[in-house]
Amino acid sequence: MRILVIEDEKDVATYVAKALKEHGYATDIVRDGGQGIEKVTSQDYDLVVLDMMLPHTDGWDVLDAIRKSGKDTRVLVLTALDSTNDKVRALNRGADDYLVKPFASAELTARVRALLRRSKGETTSELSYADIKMDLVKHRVTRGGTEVELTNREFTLLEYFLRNPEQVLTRAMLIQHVWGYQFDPMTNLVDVYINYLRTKIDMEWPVKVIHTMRGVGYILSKEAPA
Amino acid sequence: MKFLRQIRVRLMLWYMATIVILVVGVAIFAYARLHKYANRYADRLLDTEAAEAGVIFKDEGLDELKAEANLGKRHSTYYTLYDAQGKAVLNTFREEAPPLDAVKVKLEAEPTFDTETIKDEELRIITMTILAQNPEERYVMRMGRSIKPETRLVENLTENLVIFVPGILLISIVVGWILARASLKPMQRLSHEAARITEERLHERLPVRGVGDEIDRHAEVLNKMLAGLENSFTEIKTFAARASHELRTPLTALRLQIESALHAASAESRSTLESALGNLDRLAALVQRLLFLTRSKGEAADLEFKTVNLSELVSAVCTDAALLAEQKSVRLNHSVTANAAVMGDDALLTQMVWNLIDNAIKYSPAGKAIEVTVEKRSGRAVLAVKDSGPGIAAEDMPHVFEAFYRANRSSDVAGFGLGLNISKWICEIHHGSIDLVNNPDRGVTVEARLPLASGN
Repeated sequence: MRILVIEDEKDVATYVAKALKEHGYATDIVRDGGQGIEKVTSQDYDLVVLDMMLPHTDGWDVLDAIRKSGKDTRVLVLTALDSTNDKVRALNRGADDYLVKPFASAELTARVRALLRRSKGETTSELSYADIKMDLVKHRVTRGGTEVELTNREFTLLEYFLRNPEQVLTRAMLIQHVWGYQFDPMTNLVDVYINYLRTKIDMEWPVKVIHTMRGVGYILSKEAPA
Repeated sequence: MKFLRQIRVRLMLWYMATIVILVVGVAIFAYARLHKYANRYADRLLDTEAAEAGVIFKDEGLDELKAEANLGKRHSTYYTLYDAQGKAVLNTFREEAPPLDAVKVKLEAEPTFDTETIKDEELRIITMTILAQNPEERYVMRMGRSIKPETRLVENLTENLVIFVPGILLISIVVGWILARASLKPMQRLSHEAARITEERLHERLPVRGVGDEIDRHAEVLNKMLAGLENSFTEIKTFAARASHELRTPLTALRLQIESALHAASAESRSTLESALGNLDRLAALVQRLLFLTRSKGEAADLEFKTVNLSELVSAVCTDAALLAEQKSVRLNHSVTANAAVMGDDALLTQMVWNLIDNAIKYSPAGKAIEVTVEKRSGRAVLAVKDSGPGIAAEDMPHVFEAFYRANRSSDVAGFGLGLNISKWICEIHHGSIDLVNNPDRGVTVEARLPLASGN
């Protein structure tokens, strides 16, 4: 899996690349749009992380060039603009996903993974992790064979964890993906729901799967994080 | 009174007043002139006839004058003749001749004129001394003539004026109204055009007809103003985009750097870095809200409004927020009328509803309840969120919707003081209104009113 990061801001580019490399992706960096177009069209990248505000050739031009080249390269757009219009515009112009700055590296890697998985065309009707099983069709969850009753919101929350196991999920990611809110409600809404989910899915079991990453978010994992 | 404030009406009234003064002036003048002329004419006629009578008496004697006097009765001319001893030798008036003393004629003097009404007939009377055939004898003649023809003339004019003046006034109202309308029509058209140019259509300009009149000058002035406004709006938009980039890029780098450091951190620096991340999140959230508010309404106009079921939206937020409320031992009750649909942006409306309910939860003391209602009321969907918090002090009331204003309700409540400000903004771009009132018992009620979607 090769990823190209097109970002003029040195620190952002470096740490984005670092986070991606840590997750096992071969990552290159270019610092302006012109070089970006050249690299994307001449080589095979599975995914481009594209900053929209670039000097000279901006992100829109790069996006157009990628789509015109006919390559099936996924494009994850990074931008400082967060209005719905900006998002719709980017998706309409051919971006595959959209990440508003500032973001957690966990969110970036989760999106990247999701995009690369999507390109493989995976679909499933059942999710599982450890001894947890989720039937998406029947809307049922079991742990160790015992059925667990969940509300709709708890179900969606657990589903998101199961789709992104062993990955840090930030509160912002959960708010956006589970609740669908386009804003940060600045409350402990997520924590409250996680607690409810924990009492149902973890409390009676010796092995806890939902862990808190302080200052960052939550993770679904069989082992407690360091 | 509002009617009178219209320029159109005032113009018409001025026009009318001018016409009234002119017409009434002319009428009074004509009346006075005719009246005076008629009197003078009557006197001159009387004077001439009296002189003729004098000549007849002097040349042909009393009998001839008597004959003349009898003839005169037919056209309402009457005679009295006193001889030198003061005895009335001739009287054709329809009453007794007054004694000569009462006539008080000044001998040798100019003839005197006066007006008397005798048997319902208004008479102009001349009194003068005349000479008899014997030049030594002085007679006094009193001669009266009806002034009915002259009076008729003046009356006739008055009658005409009574019809003519109101007629002119009526015409002047109509003409005044038409003139005022016609002269203000271009102005009206201009204001109509100007009203069309809203914040969302600032690129449009008013038509300048090229006639070079006052209206054109107005249009040019307004156009210049619009250009200035459009510039400012564009600047704000550009500013928001640049500020977004400039603020968020370093935040991104910082966040990634701290996260990276966190991987390799020792136990004690870990908690420092984690709290740094918490602060960074807070800063990012603040930046997000500020930029949200900086965005002009013009940008909001690009939003594509869809039919949003506010009832369902509020119920969904209430379900989510109920758990939060439970954490604080606050009850969140909601009573929502079915299918209150509004035209709007789903995400923004959710944010607004969330802000209002979240605020109520923050300020509610444990054990109390929050009432959320959605009603349809006179074409509007009305969302009310009622809490039992400490309420708002009167001096804070005018500021509650201002950015960063946090009424001294409770200093330990989290947030930036932007929630109500953002809610107001969202409400307004949906053509709605929002206000906050203290409840009679305790706490506050925030009420947001949005126009119902058509067919609702």
